[in-house]
Amino acid sequence: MKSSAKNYGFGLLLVLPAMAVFTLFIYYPFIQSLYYSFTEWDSIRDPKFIGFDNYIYFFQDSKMMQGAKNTIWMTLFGLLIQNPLALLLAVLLNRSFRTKAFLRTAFYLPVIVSLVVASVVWNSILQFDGVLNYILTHIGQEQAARDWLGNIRTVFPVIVLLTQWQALGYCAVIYLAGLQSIPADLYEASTIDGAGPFMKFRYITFPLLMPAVTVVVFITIVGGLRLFDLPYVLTNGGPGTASYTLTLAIYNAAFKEFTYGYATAAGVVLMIIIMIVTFAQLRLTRSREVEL
Amino acid sequence: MKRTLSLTAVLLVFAVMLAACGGSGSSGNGETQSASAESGTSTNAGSTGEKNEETAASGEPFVIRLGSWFIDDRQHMTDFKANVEKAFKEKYPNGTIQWDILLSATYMDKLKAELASETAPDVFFHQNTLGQYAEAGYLMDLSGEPWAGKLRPGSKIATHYKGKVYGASMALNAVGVWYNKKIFSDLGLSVPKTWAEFIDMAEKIKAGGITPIALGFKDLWTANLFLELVVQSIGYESSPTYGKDLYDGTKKLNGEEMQSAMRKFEDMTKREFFNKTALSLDWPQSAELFSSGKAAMIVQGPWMPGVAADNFAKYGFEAFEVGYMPIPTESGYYNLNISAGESLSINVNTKHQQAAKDLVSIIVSPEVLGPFSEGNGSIPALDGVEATYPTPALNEMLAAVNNGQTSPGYSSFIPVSAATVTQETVTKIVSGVNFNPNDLKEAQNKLEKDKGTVILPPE
Amino acid sequence: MRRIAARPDNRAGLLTELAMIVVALLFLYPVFYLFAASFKKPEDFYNPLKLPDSFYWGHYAKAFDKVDVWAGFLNTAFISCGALALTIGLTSMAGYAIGRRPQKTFQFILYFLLSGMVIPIQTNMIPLFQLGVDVHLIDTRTFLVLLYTAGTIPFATFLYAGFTKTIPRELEEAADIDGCGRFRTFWSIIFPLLLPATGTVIIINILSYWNDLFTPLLYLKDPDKMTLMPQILQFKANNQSVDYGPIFALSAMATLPLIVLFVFTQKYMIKGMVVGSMKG
Repeated sequence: MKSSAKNYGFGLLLVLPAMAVFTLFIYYPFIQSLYYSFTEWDSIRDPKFIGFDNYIYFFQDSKMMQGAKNTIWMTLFGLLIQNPLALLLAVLLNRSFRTKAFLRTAFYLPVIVSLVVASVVWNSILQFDGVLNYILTHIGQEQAARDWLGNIRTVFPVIVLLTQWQALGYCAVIYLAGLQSIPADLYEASTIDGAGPFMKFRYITFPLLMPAVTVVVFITIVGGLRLFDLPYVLTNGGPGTASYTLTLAIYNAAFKEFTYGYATAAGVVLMIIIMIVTFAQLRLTRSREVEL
Repeated sequence: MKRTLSLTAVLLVFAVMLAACGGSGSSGNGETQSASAESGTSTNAGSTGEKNEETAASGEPFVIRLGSWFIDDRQHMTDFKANVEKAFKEKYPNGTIQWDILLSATYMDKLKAELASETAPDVFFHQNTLGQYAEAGYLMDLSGEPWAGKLRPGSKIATHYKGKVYGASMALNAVGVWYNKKIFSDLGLSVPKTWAEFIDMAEKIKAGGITPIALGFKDLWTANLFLELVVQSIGYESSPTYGKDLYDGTKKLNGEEMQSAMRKFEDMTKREFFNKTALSLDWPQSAELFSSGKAAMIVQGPWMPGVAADNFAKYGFEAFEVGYMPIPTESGYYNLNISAGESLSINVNTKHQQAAKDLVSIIVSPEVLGPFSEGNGSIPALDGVEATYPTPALNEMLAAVNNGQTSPGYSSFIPVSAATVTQETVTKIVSGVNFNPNDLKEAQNKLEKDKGTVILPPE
Repeated sequence: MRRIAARPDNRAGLLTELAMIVVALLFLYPVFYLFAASFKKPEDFYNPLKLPDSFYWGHYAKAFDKVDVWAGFLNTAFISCGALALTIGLTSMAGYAIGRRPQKTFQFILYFLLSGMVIPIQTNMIPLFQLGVDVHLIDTRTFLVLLYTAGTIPFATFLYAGFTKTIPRELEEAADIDGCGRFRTFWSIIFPLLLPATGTVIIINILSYWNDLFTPLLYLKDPDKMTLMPQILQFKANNQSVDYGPIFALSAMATLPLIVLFVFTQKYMIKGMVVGSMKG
């Protein structure tokens, strides 16, 4: 056997390249950001130290708050509606339909489309004189036709629904994988014991599915909290501030309004939110995981 | 445990070393004195880097880079390029111009990055950043250039900083309402002289089954143009120093002037003067709407008649004559902001100083700038360059400019973040929401918070 | 252990299946729209439901004319593959080391890496830019490869670490007895066994690299080096007049390689996700 010190050294060697790249490109800029978040800086002239002012203003800024509100809505929706729907979809896709292969492809294909391309297509479909309104008028629902992305009340819900087009397939596939790894014997044994479908779900499916749930919920939360591409390309936050997300607000504060120090501070706040939420989530779901 | 500590120490040292390397790297880079944003020391902006060699004079072939974001394939743009190249070749047979063109707003971000990394073009166009770049030491002092004294007052904000000239400018743009003369004559309408007449006129157009005003608010800058046009008149009617007043705090963004403007937008929205697709159309689509005759008016810059003409040809619309009118206040007053469209500066690090200066001189010479202005519909930014526009609409614009008052745009006195809030308020109103004065309070807050980012226009 | 047996078909099953097919078709519609619209003649373009009766190649011609599509394709491919290769190389080693060694140090390293996952890209935007400038890598494809790799390191390492635990230690001991060097042991014996995890890393990340807009938008400026997504966006911004045909054509072309990849690796993709999510 090798000496454990040598083993240790070798281990470190293996880890070093990854650590180097990671630290240089992720942590080093982050530390710099922390410094800038305490300054007033337009990224061209000198930064000016202003202490916690940026952070204080963040909570008074209605644009950031709107972005935060939308972001939280998006995440809650993801958790409470997208998740169960994806699970349902997975259960359905698990049945032996004749068109099983087609169905699975159909639901997963949207995932492949980039958000930029999706935005181009959806923008075209949702325009006032686009396909959706065209269909609505032709089936006699003319009053339902509207400028979906130009109306303060409909714009963000529409964007949330658009994310589902891709999110459902993605999550469903993960759940599907989880479902398929549950041994059938367990179900059969429980049938013999007289368990109904509900009990089966609660005592077999759900606990054994927990690892998949952990992953899906994690992805949903982080994805929801970081939503950027769709609102950026589709509406750039409009009309007014109705479709802002936090990440979009941060981006605009930096690149459109030259308040880089402020933008970074907002970025740090966002990061703290993500950390808290994911930490809580991981603890909650991992503790419920059941190993075979 | 000890192992963990030592490992952490190693990592820390690692990080510190990186920080040191990164810091010294940026100031050790390049032999010149231009400041990078990181080290943050502004150098004497007038210096031109004595170590740079002048290669043009020696007769060797060289390439000079010219950066821009607006030189696309419209006719007057290609003519412009040809004219510039011809004149440059005459002076420098060995020189070639490399056009670094990036046709979108991303150009500004890239330019900023290039300046910070000392990879910017030798000569470049930019917009709204003259003061900042000058202060950061990126720009060559051009106060001694032959054309420097010929710059018109309206161009000062894009060319002067702390009394020195850091850039030239090509175009002074006036924004206004461009209208379809055929529709007007068909409906027996004349150009309104007061706000009440304006409303009246629009109502008549609406009654005629045509959309009065085409909006393309998906591109926020079009909302900005419209808003500024309205506020400029109202604001400067109330005070001849409206812009400065906003900066000083004697006038507020949630004051009477802004509120009046917002209420006007609310009124126009309620009266359905705008296309239903106002918020999902972008600028090109709104231009198309106007050119097709489906909308009677559009608020845009002086490029509009040219774009309309292009659209007639491209889409086969029936051509009509375009007219110009400003937006009056209740009393009939109007004030136009003749602002410079862009700055043209020389990179302080350029290796071709004389060639760069000559290139700039060529661009603002009457032979080049004249035709450019005519095609672009802009007023030349220098004295001594005359433009006679082929389109009557542009001449109407010039007449309006000469007959009315002009002042610096009020928005150059307020931070971008505050202006953005006002624009977003407009889009909200146009989407159908009632005007809420609290939105303007938000704008005022931003003004006070981000005042430090404003570089005041020169007097 | 048998897999879950599929339920037998029945009446309700048939109805459900039909409903599913309808929904599936709706899901597919936007993709269909993308390709169909790219072939429509300009006059028909705004006519929503009209199907193209012939293939109009004009939009594609225009796209190729205005934008260097081939360069965009190559750049995107180069960056994606480069990032994948580098990531796999670095993280398989790191994950293996962490998975095998129980010492606190390695667990700390893992958490350190994972903590980086929560940092949003926006936070690091400008310091990263400055960094790129300082190391003279700004506006290079290499820079993007490094950035993508750095961003993927946490999850990939985590994946490899977990998967390593399922490989019996006896293998290494046997190799050691045979006199095999440690490095060789890793690459010739362990790495091939990590293939399912490698597959997962590839499948999950190729999509995000290929479809990424933000990073190349910020850090690349040379049009010769640009990737497909920013090309689409700039193409949209470039036009003084609206001409969606070529934009659709470009978008269709950008999506096609992924669709092809997906069709050929579908089974493997799903299998990889099973492994990935279970062992994670």
